Amino acid sequence: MTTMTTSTDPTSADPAATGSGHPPARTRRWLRGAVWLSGRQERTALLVAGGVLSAVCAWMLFLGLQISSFVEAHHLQHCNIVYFPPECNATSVSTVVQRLDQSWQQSVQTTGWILLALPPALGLFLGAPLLARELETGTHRLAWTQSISRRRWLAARLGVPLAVTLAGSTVLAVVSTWWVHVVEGRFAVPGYYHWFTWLTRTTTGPAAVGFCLLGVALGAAVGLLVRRVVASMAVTAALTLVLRLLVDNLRFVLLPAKRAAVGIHVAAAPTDPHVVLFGGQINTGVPLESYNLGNGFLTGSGLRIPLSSDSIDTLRDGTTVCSDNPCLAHHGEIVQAYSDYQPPGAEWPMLWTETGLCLALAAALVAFCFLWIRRVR
Amino acid sequence: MSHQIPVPADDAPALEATGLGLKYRRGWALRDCDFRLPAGRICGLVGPNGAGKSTLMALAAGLLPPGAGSVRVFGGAPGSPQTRGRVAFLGQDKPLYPRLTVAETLRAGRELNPGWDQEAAERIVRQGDLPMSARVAGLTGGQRTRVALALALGKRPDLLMLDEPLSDVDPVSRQELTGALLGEAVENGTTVLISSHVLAELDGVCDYVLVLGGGRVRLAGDVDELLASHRLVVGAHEGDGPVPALAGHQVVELRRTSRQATALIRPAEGDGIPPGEDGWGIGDGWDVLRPTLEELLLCYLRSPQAPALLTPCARPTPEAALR
Repeated sequence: MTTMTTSTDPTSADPAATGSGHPPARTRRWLRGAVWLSGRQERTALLVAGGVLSAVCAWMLFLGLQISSFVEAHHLQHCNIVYFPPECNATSVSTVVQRLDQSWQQSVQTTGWILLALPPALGLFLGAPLLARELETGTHRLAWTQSISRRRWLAARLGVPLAVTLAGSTVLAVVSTWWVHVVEGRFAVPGYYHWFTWLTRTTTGPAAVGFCLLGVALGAAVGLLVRRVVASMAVTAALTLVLRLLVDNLRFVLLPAKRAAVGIHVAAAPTDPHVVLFGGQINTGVPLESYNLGNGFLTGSGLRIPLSSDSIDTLRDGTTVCSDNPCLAHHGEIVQAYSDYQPPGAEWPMLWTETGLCLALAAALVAFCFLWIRRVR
Repeated sequence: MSHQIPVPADDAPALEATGLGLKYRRGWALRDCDFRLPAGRICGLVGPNGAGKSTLMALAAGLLPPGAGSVRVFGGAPGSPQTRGRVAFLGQDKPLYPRLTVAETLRAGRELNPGWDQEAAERIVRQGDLPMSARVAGLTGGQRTRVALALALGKRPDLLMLDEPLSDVDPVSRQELTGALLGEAVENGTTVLISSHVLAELDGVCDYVLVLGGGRVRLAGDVDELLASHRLVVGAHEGDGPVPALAGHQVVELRRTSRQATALIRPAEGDGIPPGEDGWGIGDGWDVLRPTLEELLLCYLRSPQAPALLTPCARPTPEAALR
């Protein structure tokens, strides 16, 4: 830092001293031009966001370490609350598993909701006011009558928050990925049962980054169109939900479902009311922890007869009994039962697909801003 | 001061509009505007509310695209890379970032303008006894105006456009700021376009005027030329009938009291300026006076039906119309 003490150093002197005779030494400053202004304007918002991020990460680390040390101390590594494998069935073990669930279930659930809410919150409180406040208070006219172009101004205006969001959400993603794998399947929290349930999949890995960036880009684009802070926050909230559902429904778009099938005998329901029926589930040999997309029967000609659930009734000899009309109409031709599913190995391809979709949408929204800014009055 | 942009060559007018128009949903804010503002002038922009003054400035600043015709700033399109650094615009609402301090606001000016003059900007701020560390949000209207003005002057523009800049400044600061503004403008050869409702304020400050009314140019040109080509005629006259003494003159405005008539007259279109005081040919018993700028402007503002008048230097060049 010794070189910074020369008289042309603009960072050490107060602004009053910088004007006396020498041109500002631009090369030494880290943040320059419109980037400096954008960073200064968003300073409070970014500091608050950073504080929230640190608090959430610290909380996840604290809770995750507590849970994992409990799990290790009681050797519960394989005890999943959904499947409950035989080694966990001993009374002593299941009591401990229940104790674990009861102690932290509420905290885990709340944390899950917070993680789910962070990306939309970024869109609402960082993204939506970004351009809307400038347009609402007229400060865009101040910026646009300086010596830089609108697009350069916009690049700094969007670039700074997006870059900070990228960095912050990457940290969040690393911590939350670890956290999700600590809690997944251990608690009676619906979103955290499996890798494909909604809390798990939206808060794990790159998806968290993608949704955060999409939130900010969406908020900015809406703000540019709506031009009012409060209104653009409302519109951003609604659109965030829509885009989230859209991305969520397309998350397996690159991964066609796998199909498992087994031979099966199907008969019409017996007329004798005294015949004993055994309840059960279709077992097509789908690997554990797969995401089941649907079950049904296949006829010899390849006709698909979907079932509304995977429960079936069987006779004593193992013959499956038809329970609905489509089955009854074709029961003589049915040769196989099938299950469509996504195997556990689809988790990371799914996460990357979601992320890719989010980033593509975010890029499209940013591109729209750059095109639209020329038309703004 | 090697970073300063040189004073523009005289051949390119600071502002030149041909057929300029802009239509809002409620109607034309500006229509068929033709005028020229040569570089180096201090031009007052006058007109009633809704005359199109702010629209004209926003068009010249590149904030609005013209709906019809064109406007050129030093020969270039407003908002283009060539003109962006040469034009400063201070809008009526004087937008500033409320959360920045005064020092940070000036730094923003420095960061966004390669030709920034920190000394000039600070001089304006210091004269108002403004602490550099004060937040803009906590300033009074007048202090905010001062900071906004410092930002505009620090840019070292060749064309400085100010939309009712001193409306919320106290009389003492107003005088001081006007002086500072003119000093900077004269020293750097800056062209100034300043709109104001206080006509007396423009007298002695402006050497050029542009009067707008109903979105059109009503009067434009060099102040001395305009004053020389108009006369205020006062004489005894009774009744509502025509005034014989004014026959053959273009009457901009005629006001009558019970005994007396006062008229602002100018030569008919194409006649040129009459040679001397006697050349006006008004009969005996009438006082022929040279109007003040304020009187001239008031007469034009009061009589919207008077035909428009542009002195030769205020007419756009034929080449401008072709662009």
